[in-house]
Amino acid sequence: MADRADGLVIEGLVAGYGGGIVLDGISLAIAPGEAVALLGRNGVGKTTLLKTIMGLIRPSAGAIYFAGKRIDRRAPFEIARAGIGYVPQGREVFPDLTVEENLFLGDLTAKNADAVYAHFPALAEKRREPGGRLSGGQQQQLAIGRTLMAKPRLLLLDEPSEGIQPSIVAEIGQILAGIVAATGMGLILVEQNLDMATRLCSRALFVDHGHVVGEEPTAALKADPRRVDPYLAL
Amino acid sequence: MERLAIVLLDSSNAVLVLMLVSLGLAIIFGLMNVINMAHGEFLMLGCYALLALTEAGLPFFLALALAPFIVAGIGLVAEELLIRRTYARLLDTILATWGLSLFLRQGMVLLYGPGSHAVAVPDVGSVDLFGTPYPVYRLIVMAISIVTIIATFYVFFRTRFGLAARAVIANRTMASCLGIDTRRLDRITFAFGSGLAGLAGAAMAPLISIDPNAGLGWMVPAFLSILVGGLGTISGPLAGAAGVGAVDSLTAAFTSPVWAQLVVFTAAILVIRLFPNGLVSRAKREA
Repeated sequence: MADRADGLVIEGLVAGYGGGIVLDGISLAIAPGEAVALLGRNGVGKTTLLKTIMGLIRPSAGAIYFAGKRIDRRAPFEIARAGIGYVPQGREVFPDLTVEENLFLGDLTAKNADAVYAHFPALAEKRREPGGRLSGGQQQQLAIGRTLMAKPRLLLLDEPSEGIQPSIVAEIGQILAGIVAATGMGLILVEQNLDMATRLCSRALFVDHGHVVGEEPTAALKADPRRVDPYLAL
Repeated sequence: MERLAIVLLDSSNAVLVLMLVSLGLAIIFGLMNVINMAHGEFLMLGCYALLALTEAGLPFFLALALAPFIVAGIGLVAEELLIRRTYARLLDTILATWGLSLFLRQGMVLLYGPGSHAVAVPDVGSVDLFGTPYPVYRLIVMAISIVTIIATFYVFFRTRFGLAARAVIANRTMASCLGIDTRRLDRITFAFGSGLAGLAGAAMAPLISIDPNAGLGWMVPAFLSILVGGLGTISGPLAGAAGVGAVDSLTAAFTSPVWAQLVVFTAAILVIRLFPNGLVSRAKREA
C-alpha cells in the first residue's frame, strides 16, 4: 500500500466536477520533505489534484495516503490537521479580518505570530490592517504565512506567482526556499512560472489529461528550458 | 409624560427580546446557511421549558437559567438528526425546518394540549419610574437581554472561537482547509442559536400566554430585522431589530397593532429598497 517512506502517495485517483472526469487515474508518490513542481497546460487537472488531496473534491476511485494513513474521504479540516497546508489559487485571504487574525486562523491555539513575521516582515508592519487592503504580493505572503502557522509537513501551493509583479515573485520564492530548507517541509507547487518551479523544487512532474505524463529533474529544465516544450505545447 | 415613559420602556423591552431572537436566527444563517423556520418554535420551547421546570417545583429564576440549556439541547438533537442532512441546500433547509416547526408545535399539543398556559410573574415588585409603578421583572428581562447580547459579541469578537466562527461565515471552505472543525462549529452554532431563542421564550413566558403557537408571532419581525439590518454580519440584525421592534411597538401603542403591521412593512420595504444590502452593509467580495 503506502510506501515512499510515508510521504504522500496517490494511487489511481479519479476525480472531477459533477459528471466530468478531470483526474483520470493519476498516481504519484512524494517523499517527506521533497519539493515537487506540477507543470502542465491550463485545465489538465493540477488544481483539481490539489483540491482532491485537500478533501475539497471527493474522488470517485483511487486512494490518497499521507504519513502512512489513508486520507481520501476525510474532511478538509482533518486533512489540514494531519499536516497538509493548502494555499489556494487566488489566495483566499479573509478580507475583513486583520492580518494577525488571518494568521491565527492557521493555528487557533498560537500565542503569537512572530515566527511568520520573521519570514515576512511586510506582514508584521500591517498586522492590524484588514487582509483585503494588502497588495496582491502581500496577500500571497499572508496566505502562505497563515498556512505556515500550523507547521505543515507538506505544503500545497497553487500558482503563487499569479497576478504578482515579478520582483515580488522572486522575493516570495527566495523566502519560501529558505523556509523549505529550514523546516524540511515538503512542497507540491503548481506553477506556470518556470523560474519559481526550478528554484524551489528538485523534481518536476508533467500532467496532461489527468495523468502524470512525464518527469524531469528541475536541474535539467534549468539547464535546457526547451525540455518542457513537448509537455506544454498545444 | 408618564405614559410616554412607560411606552418607551415597554418598547425597549420588545426591542431587546427581538434582538435576542434575531441574533440567534442570524448566527445560524450566517454560519450554517440554514434558514431556520423553526426558530420561533425554539422560543416556544423556551416558554414550555420554563413552565415545566416551575411546575416541577424549581424556583423561578433557577428555571429561567436552566430553560435555555434545555432548548439548546433540543437544538443539538435536531441538528444531528435533521439539519446537518440539509447543508449546502438552502431551499431544503427551509422545507426541513418548516417541517421541524410543525413537528414541535404538534408535539407540544400532544404533551400540553392546544390550550394556553400561564406562568406567574415572579414577585419582584415594581419601582416608581416617572411617578408610575413599573414592574421590576420587565427591567430584569431587559438586563438579561443586554448582558446576553454583550456576551455574544464578546465571544464573537474577542475570542479565538469567535474568530473561527467569523472565518466560517466569511469563507467556509477556506476555514475548513485551515483545520477549523466546521462540523463542531455547526453543532455549537445551532445549539447556541436555539438557546438564544429559548432564553427569549423563557424570559418572556410570564408576560405572554404560553401556547404551541407562541413562537409564530416572532418569526416575521425576526426575519424582517435580518433583512433590514443586513446579512452576513452579526451587528446588522441588532440594528434591524431596533428599527423593526421600535416602529412596531411604538405604532401599536399610539394607534393599533393593525396600523403597526402596516407601518412596519412599509418602512421595511422602503429600507430594503434604499439599502438593498441592509443598514449595516458589508461589501460582498466573491473569491
